Amino acid sequence: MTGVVEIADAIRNGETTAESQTIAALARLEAVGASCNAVATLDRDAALEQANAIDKARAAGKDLGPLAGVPLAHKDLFYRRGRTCHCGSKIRAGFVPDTTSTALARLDDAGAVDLGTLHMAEFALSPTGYNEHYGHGRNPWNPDYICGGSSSGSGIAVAARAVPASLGTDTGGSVRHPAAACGLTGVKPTHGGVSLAGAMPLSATLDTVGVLACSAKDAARIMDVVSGEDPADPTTAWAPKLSHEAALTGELAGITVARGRGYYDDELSSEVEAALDRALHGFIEAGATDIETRAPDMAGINAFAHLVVATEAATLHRQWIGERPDDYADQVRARIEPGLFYPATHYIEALMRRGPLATDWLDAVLGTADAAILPAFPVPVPTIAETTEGSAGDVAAIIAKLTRNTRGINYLGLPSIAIPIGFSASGLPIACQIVGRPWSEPLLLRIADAFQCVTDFHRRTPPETQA
Amino acid sequence: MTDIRTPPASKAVFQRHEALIIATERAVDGLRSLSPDATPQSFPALKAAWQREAGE
Repeated sequence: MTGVVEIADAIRNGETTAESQTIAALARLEAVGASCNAVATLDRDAALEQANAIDKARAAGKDLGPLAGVPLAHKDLFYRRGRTCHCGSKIRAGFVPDTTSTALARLDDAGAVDLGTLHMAEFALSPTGYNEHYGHGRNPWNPDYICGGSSSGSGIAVAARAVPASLGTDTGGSVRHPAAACGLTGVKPTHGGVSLAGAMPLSATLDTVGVLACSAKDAARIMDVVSGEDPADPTTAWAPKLSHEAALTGELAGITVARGRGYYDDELSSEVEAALDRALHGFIEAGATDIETRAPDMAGINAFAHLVVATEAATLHRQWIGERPDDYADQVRARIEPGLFYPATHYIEALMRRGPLATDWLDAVLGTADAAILPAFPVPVPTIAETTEGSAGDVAAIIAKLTRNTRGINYLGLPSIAIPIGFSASGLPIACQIVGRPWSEPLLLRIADAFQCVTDFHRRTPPETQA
Repeated sequence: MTDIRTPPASKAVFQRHEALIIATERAVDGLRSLSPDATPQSFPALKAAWQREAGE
């Protein structure tokens, strides 16, 4: 029993209990915490208390929420009142928030059991799972390879089937990277689709709260719970009430997908390209028609994405960087410090151009289609050594490759879902991302789900989980 | 480019990241002229427009 919907249904039907699911998930998290560095802090007593309350409610015949008894754990930047939240950093070690994030509160209200916090890159600033203070996250498919970041523990824990889903955040790809590297479904919503209140910000203009799960169906159940307007986060003011799970029909009749070429073909490895070609047949088999479109050069968009993140992060971190520079990893500080120097005129220009550039990009890359199929990583998942050793230039080049297809999407504010579409010669997952217009998350999940109805990549599990 | 401000925005820190900063600013300067009607609210306006579409 590994899926969100499957577990919730089984608890509701009395085939299992929240307590037994919670005990089993805690044991699995401890195991993958040790083998792949997935865990920050487990909250065993509180989790068992929550689980017992769900079992008692069911026994009493009370209404159960859509996630009742489902054991989850999340990236260590979602605040829970009274619980430490390190944000993957030395700077915030021991920080205890006095508030609970809206996303966690909504999961609580739906009956989910919160097992604790998961490993993440320092202050959400690495696409690989790199963390000098707490050790690097490792990929359950092969621990020598990166697990993707910055929601690294979320990717590891779900891939290892320790928990069926996990919340992450995505500012330049931080949900889609671990989803891509670990073979998961990763939803990055439209900016403002899920409340950011009570999640440690990196760049409020580009931050999104997203979901990693084993399937589109499971991700849709979580999205139904966490998405929508929240008075505590003004960026959600334009969020319509979306029905994600109800949109899944298992087919794509009348849907057109665009294979975005141009920019997205540049630096594309032959292995990933072949997987994309095969994946397109999967979408067509599910009922979609396809067109080809040409993406524009992304230099300006990627420059704005970097400029906005660096400037906003530098604003948040300026005092800490001034007082405690050595408490940051060099690689992390180097992502923030340029933001101390960009002129306000360019920052404001980035905000002014965002809407027009998003419209232009959608016209070019989606055209008449409903969604675009793009590579997530342009290359197969690299090893940890490839992203940490060698010259600074070599490391910077591979990091730039890993983010080139994702970070622009955050600047454009668009929804995107990463899904597995194959495996590389080294046995690591290969992924695409399905990108759509603002608020098209239900449609994107329908496309992902229909693809998963005719393929089995999302059902395959890492060797360690098959014992 | 102002290269010396209050710490931690020191000249030494600027020099460490000079190549990236200059490349970023060149990419921005390379874009076509900004519309005189541009507004920082352009993206919220886009979301609001698509909210109406999603609600239909």
